Amino acid sequence: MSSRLTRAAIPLLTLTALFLSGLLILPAGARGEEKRVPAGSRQTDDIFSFRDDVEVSGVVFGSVQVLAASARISGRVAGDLVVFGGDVELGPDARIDGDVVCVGGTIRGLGDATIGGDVFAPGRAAGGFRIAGSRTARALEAKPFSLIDVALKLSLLLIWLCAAIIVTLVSGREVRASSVELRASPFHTFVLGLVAFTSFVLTAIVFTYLIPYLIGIPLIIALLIFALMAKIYGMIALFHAVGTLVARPRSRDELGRRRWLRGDMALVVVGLLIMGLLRMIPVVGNIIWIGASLFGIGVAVGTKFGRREPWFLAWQPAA
Amino acid sequence: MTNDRCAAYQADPAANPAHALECAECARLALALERVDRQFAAVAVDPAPSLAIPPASLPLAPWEGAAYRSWSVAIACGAAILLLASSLFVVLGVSPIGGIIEAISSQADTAFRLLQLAEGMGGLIHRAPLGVHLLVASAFIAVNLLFVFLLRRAPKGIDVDV
Repeated sequence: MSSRLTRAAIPLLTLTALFLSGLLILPAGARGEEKRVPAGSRQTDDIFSFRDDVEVSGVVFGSVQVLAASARISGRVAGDLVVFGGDVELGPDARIDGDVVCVGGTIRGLGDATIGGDVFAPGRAAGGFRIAGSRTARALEAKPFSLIDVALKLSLLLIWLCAAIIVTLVSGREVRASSVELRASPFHTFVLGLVAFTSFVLTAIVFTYLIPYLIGIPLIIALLIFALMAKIYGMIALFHAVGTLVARPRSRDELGRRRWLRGDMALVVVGLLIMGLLRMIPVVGNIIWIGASLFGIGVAVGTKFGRREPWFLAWQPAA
Repeated sequence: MTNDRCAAYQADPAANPAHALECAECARLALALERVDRQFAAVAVDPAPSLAIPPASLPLAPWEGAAYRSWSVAIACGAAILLLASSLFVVLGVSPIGGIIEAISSQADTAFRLLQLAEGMGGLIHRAPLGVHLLVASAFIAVNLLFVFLLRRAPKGIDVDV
């Protein structure tokens, strides 16, 4: 009884710990002074800012990098504009010669500003993608449910379909095992995915300390490849689980009667279509997709990509 | 006292019926066994219930019919998505092939951007105050300990009822 209670308490304690960590890490409370480059002035160095908003009305002959704060640009930045955990506000006369990167915030005023490089804002539209011209940028900014958004999402769905078919053909048994685990322990899988994702991010940050010693970049690449593999495999297992919940045959008679809608491949395709349709919903669709990714990463890592082998020698059997 | 003939009789009484007439020990044994047979025959015992479960009553296992490759479903869905995406690109005045290639290349671009982000983050982290370094180190240790702890739990069985 007490061990069951402990097992139930672990995911709840994990979520609480992650929430509290988030409160510590995320920007909150009083901030320091705003860093300003007034109109008519020039700055030759890069600007780095932690939790202090940055306003550029003059010219910066370098990059502007901001962590846990926002940037307002109405002048010129000769390098890149990178903002983590904050918003970017671009004035009509703003000019960024390099790239604009905004992670964990929103970009406003993109349509009127002059951007020399690319705009990268993960979670916006179909993930991070290159905005080819200001026309597309305006369309994205004005309407969250634009046709270009739907078309890009459909194209990505087609890529997901190809990947899902290949993975199901190559390792159908593993996908099925992961799908069973996902349906048997959804809460544990989600918490594991959340912790795994946080671990990937923190590990990547730690690896960035090693960039000056050359080993940092290969380590980050290896981590990125592992994380991508976990996400792709896990999402396909999730498609299988969703397809199974919706369209699996309930009896042998039903299985025998079905001509097409049976087998792992059909279930994966059905699940993919359902998740793809959900992703089309503005705003909510992206949240659902992120949640699904966490489930996917959790099940991929938890079942060791469906092989169901122990990660460690001391392995606790499930009750 | 038993001998080889006794042993042969006890092994197969029907093959050596004459031995029971010349050996009192074996004759007594044969009578006792006959009595036991009669006693068992007198008691009405129900036949043992069959433990075999009819296969039709078992729930459908996840692997049953799983190997079937439903190409028609996959191709039909792929064609429908392709048609829809291409139509939307045509309506928007973008070449369908160009649009799809752009969507694909954006994914590779995303991975490249993530690397750039990590590099940019590295630049920011190096200029961070000591408190940020301590926070990163403690969060890294705590989260990875938790990760290892959660990974120690074994997955449930493939035959779990879901």
